[in-house]
Amino acid sequence: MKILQIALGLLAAIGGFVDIGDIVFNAQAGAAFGYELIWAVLVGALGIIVYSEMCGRVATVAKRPVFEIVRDRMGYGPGLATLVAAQLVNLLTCVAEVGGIAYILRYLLGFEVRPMILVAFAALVLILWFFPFEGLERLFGFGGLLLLIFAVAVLTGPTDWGAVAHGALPNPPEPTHPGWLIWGYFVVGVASASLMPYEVYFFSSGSIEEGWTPESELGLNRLTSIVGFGLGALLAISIMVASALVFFTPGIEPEFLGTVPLAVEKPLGEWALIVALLGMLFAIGGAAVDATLSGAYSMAQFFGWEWGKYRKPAEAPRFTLCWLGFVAIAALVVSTGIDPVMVTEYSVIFGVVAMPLTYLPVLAVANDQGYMGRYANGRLSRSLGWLYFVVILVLALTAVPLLILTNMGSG
Amino acid sequence: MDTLDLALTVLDRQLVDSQGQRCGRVDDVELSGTLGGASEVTSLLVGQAAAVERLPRWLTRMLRPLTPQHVVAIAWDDVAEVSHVVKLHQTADQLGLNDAERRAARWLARVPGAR
Repeated sequence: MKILQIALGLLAAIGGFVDIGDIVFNAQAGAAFGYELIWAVLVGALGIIVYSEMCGRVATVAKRPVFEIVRDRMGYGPGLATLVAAQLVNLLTCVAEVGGIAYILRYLLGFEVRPMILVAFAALVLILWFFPFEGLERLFGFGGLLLLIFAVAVLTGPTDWGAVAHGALPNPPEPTHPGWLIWGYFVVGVASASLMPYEVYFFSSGSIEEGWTPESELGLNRLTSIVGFGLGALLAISIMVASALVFFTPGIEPEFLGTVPLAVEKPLGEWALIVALLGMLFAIGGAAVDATLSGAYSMAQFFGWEWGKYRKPAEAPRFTLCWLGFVAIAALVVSTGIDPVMVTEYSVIFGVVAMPLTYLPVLAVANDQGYMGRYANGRLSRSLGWLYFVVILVLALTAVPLLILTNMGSG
Repeated sequence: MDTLDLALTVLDRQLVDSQGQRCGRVDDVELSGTLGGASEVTSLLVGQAAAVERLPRWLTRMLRPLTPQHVVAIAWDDVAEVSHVVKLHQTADQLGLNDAERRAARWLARVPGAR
């Protein structure tokens, strides 16, 4: 029974890895650079593994979620600045995901976008209101596994595995090459899309809600982080490779969300298109739920309110009002007709810009034996932790200049 | 006597009432005493208005009009334990820390499935 539980949790983590940011950036990177940027997915995935393992461990041992630590360690002023930055990113992410859901519903059902925004809003609110935490995780996680259709397209297609292996290591173009900056933009975008921090806020708060203890759940934390997110990254890579197979040679840029599933329709047929759209619907829906709840968790933890999805909505009332507010604002912004793909790119880029602010306090606590006792970072986690702080800092500092210089990757 | 680093272990900590309910954070600490003489902690202040006063002056001036002015002072005698959270001897209701949460709950309670 326990093994089954763990397996189900892992499957949900795999399916929950991909969100609209991964879909947009990986599909575009595959179309523009073929298999060349696979390594960037791996860089991002290892980063999210390191970060989420630390957050999960800190949450399990010190019983503190991310934004409780942010305020404890940074104090009120800098903590408030971090909260504002993280919430703006969260909101952008919610807008992107809600917009994504609406557009996919449109492709699936054939209605106009606006009524679909209303449907997306109502569905999210009802699901968040009535579904228990575990149900949410499973529903969207398992549904997201439909994205395996991209892996099917890769495995049955004319994939050049030598080139895939080649792409797993960085091969930067000559600095004189005109496409150099665009290459840089997509490296940052692809790595950052895997690194979206809201997943981690969600994961660490969830593990506290589930009452994880160091003795029994630290292994599970490591397994979920490493195996769940590791295999999730394979899903992200298969989107990139499938996109490369179909779009790279003719030079098509999948600039609409609806272009992406054509990467599986072309080799596998129309049924695969439907499967891919459904997979995207669940993956993006799950991300919308995670990002929304992340926003509410962060607010409640910073201000010290009751929080928790394990409670009935009225038992953590301000937390509930927060996530309701998030979904509502996101739906309103989407209904202005803003392009969800563009919002997605902004959310990913600004996500990584804000990331050092929450990463550093968590790393500090995970390193601190005063808080963590014998569960503090050992030599390996400490080195990886600092190494990734540098990686995240580099991504954060280059992201906005690249966004501006390349005009969002369009040159 | 144990020493307690007020700024590091009390200020900004999560408050938990006697029933385990989260009820805000230590937004400021009030000391009393004489200059050059002994001073002691009189109370913990809870409420955004208290925290906002700790920001840089230009920010305080900007945020003050937007912040609810309600601040609750918790007597230091009501503090039961300081660990990763600050535990209190009484319930949030008794200490007046539950007003906003209760108001929000009343709103939500009308919706089916809220309880």
